[in-house]
Amino acid sequence: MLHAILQGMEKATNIPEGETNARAFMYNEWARLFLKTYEPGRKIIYTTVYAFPMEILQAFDIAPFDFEVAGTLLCTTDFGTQVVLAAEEQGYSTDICSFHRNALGAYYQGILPRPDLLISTSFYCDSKMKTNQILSSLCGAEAQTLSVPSIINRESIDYVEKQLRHIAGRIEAVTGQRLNEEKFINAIRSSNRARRLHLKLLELLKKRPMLWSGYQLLTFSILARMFTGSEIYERLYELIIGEIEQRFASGELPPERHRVFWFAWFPSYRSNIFDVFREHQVSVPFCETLRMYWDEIDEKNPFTGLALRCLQDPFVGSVDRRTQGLKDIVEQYGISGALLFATPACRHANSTNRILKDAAAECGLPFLTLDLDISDRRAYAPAQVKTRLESFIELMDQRRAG
Amino acid sequence: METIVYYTCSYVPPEILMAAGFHPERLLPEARPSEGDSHMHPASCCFCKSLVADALDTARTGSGQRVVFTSCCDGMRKAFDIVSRYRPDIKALMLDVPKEKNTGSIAFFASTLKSFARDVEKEFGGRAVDTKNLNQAIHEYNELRVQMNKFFSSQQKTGTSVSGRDYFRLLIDAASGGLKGKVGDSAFPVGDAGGVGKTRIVVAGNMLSRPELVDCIGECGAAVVAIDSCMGVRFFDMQVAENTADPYASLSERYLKRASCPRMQGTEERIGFLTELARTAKADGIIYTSVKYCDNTILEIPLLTRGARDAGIPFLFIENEYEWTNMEPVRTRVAAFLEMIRA
Repeated sequence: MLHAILQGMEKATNIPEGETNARAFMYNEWARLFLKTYEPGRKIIYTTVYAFPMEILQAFDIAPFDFEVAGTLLCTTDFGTQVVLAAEEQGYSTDICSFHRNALGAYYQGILPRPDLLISTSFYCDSKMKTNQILSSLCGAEAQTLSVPSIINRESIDYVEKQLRHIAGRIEAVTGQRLNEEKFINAIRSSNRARRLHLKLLELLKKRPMLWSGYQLLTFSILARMFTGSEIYERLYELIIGEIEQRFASGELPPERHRVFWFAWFPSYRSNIFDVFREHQVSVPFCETLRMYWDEIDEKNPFTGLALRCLQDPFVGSVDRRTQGLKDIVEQYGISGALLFATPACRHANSTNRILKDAAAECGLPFLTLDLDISDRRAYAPAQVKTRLESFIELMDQRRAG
Repeated sequence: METIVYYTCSYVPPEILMAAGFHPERLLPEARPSEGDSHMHPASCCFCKSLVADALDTARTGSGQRVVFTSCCDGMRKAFDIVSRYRPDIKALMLDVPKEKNTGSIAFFASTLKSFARDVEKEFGGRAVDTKNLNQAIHEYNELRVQMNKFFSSQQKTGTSVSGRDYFRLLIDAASGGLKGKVGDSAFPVGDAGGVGKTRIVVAGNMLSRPELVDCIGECGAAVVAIDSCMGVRFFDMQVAENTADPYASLSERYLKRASCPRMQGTEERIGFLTELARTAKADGIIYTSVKYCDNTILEIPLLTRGARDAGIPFLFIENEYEWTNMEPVRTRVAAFLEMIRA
């Protein structure tokens, strides 16, 4: 089933030569990347594409796979609910994140490609790491965990670096390949170039109005990280920047009443959030998953640089990392409200919603906690979502008027 | 009188707190999870929410109280953030605990514990922790572990049975440091062979700080022969190597290698530990309970259930909201489970 979905996605997003379309390009490359898992003889490595340094995987000839990301595809189809139910029938509680019930249900239905190695990280959340462990038990494949502490000092950098080297060693052992040093350095260089493009994009997003769909911004901010360390990522940035610049140059600028800063994730299924926003001329020019928090990686010490980047992730350590610099963001991006997408089981992102709200209030922003499941659409009620969003928009209107 | 330092998780070595001159006590908040909703998302661990509610209650938690949190789980990490933000007058420390028990993690945790000891001195105003006083504290806690394990073994034998309530009270006493200096046999409840002929049950799970479940099992005519919770059998597993040149390394080794909590890697090992415990205790069944919204635990339940079934041990899972207000449905389920075992 997943194979068919990926094949369909690749076909549907295959744009004619000469044309450019950033969104189609991203989905096309995503499909091609995950379709590698169906190539005979290809070693499959489960990972967390938005947290584990993909540059290391670029140094091998393997097929990376992220069961959460694959799950987002399943839940866009009518099979999404079936898959989640399959996990619940095995005893997995509905209190567990639907992303992980998705993955477990997909395993039990024989949908997931069989991994040769499973790599997870202690960030972002307990649940993904635990799901990884369970899948490892069920598949009989080796699991490795990158444990990232909250303190940044010489010892913790060494600790994470040693783990990264160890995991690279395990990839070598499982795949029978050596880490290709040239590919690895090229991946680091590509990653650094992408970082510079990212900074350029961040500058562009300060301009008004926002000429990029908020949904695409969110999707890109998390999912595109699967291409980190490859020229696909750089190309994607160039396409996005090009499209935004072209739209500005065309002079066709849509009206914009409010600009919202977005915390955490977004629904994988089609929802009315961005329809409501569009109707009320609300844009999303920035989100926390797009923030730049790391320096360029020193290609002479790549493992050290990658370890430091993991340690600096805003979802490691104190919630202060998520609210730091919010005042500057509000000013530079013209933000008039903040929204937390609170999928029920995402404890690490939601539990401190009060702190996020108070941080927003200190910047004079109304704040909305939008409780909505990320991939289980059984509890999705469009009318309720519309009401919540419209009340939030009213608050932003009042703030502006006041 | 020694100043109390509270700790929220069984991965905090109380030995370090004792060596620093404090009285270590496990923090057991009042069961008030819904009061924590104002500051912690409602779909968060009920234990952590109760902890937050207690911390925000200035009548209950005075200024200057000393508390150690760990990175044991997402809920606890966030509870630390919330307490630090809204009660900066509480002295709170965070101890990072690795998820694995490999050589690298043990070495890193040892260095973390050394820094932690310095933080305890500096932030809590403790005395300097040195090798001598730390080894002394290790020895005292090891003695307690010996006594507790002796008690656990005796409870597992057929024919002796301390009531579940007394077993449970003993664990609370040990957690509150109430057994310090009382390691002789007189500190421990004695069975009266009242357990002979009763259905034997192992109670397992995460944070169990209220007696309702063990009382219910007793009222249904069964005997609780082991309690493997956060503060139970696994908390007292393994000794710390004594009088070593590097007591932090010894502490790290023991804390990471002991019978683990679901927050650690090693699901299969935990299944093995629990089924072996049930076998040793000649248990007729396992009743496993989890505080609601504990992802680390609830994700393991299907594999635990299967592991127990494969070992031929009946297994019942009961969720709780830390308050245990829903006792009638619990009683029905426990009674039905016991009836099934006895049939």
